[in-house]
Amino acid sequence: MSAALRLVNPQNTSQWDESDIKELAASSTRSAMEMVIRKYRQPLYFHARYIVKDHQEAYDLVQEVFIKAMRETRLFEEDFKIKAWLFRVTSNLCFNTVRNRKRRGALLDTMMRPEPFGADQLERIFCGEQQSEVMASLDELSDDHKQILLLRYYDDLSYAEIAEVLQVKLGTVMSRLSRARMRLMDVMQDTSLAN
Amino acid sequence: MDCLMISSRVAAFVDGELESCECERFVLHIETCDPCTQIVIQIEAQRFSPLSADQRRSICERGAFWGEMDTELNGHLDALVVAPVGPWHRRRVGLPVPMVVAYAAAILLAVVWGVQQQERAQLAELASEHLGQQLEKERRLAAQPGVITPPVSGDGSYKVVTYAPERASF
Ligand SMILES: [Zn+2]
Repeated sequence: MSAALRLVNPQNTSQWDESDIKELAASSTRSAMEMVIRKYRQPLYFHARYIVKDHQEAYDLVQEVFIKAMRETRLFEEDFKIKAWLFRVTSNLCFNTVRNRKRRGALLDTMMRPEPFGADQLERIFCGEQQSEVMASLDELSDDHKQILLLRYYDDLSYAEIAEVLQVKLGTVMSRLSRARMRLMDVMQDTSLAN
Repeated sequence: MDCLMISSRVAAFVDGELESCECERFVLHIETCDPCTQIVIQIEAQRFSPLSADQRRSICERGAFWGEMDTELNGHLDALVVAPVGPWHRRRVGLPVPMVVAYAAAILLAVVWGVQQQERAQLAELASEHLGQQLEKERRLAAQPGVITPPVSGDGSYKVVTYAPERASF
């Protein structure tokens, strides 16, 4: 059998929402888990990659998140927020990885690592974005501020979804996001003054 | 709405996430407050440029981008044994045997201890009831006017007895 995930049609994932997946889980946990993987691996990969800034690390971290999801017994329970849980776990793993890397002083080493699929146009777009002024300034922010800005403006999560990921109230999302943008504004002003 | 509130709602205002009444109060404030107007202008000027959906798809749908992950996760999926999700009374719960034995023993001990305590409580209750009855009986007797029972034998008169211990009897 091919290495690709079996049983479910990969074309269907965008049409499946969490309640459909939970319904599927009642008859086949494996199929439901495959659907979860297919539906969320791409957004999680980019979320991870914006934080760790390395393809292989982001890829491995997302894989680890799905292995954790398979062990999460509440995953298909009625009131469980699958997407919020996946983003929360991915964020935590990524920020831990970056912290550990900084502790080891290996940041420069990783940033110099070549991209695995060749520096084609799209990779260059990605790398260009990574090196943009805003992205560079995001790295100067606290983890909380960087996380909320990524979730909103790069991962395109709604305020309500962000509240679920961070397990905070909607008002807290609004105030944290505002503070993050004001802090980003200060950092960008400082950078432009320094240049 | 004051300047502090403006600084904690500016992102929601720019993103169009404020409710209409809050949005009105926001606008009313910035119309009369230059520093807050400047903040709104600067926040609005921030440009985030995430990859578009097409760019993301183009990166992830190339060749065997997910192949390595699929292979790895398939192995985990094959080994995956998850209890089917159904009504709570039909779900199977896998607990280690020592834990089950320990729980059972703890429950049994608790039941035995409970029964013993109940028996003790019943005995204590009976004893206190008996004591109460005794006390009540004695209280009634004490409350009655003194009736001195005449001696059974003799001439009906009381005999005065004096007691004088013999010397050196102790
Ligand atoms: Zn003001």
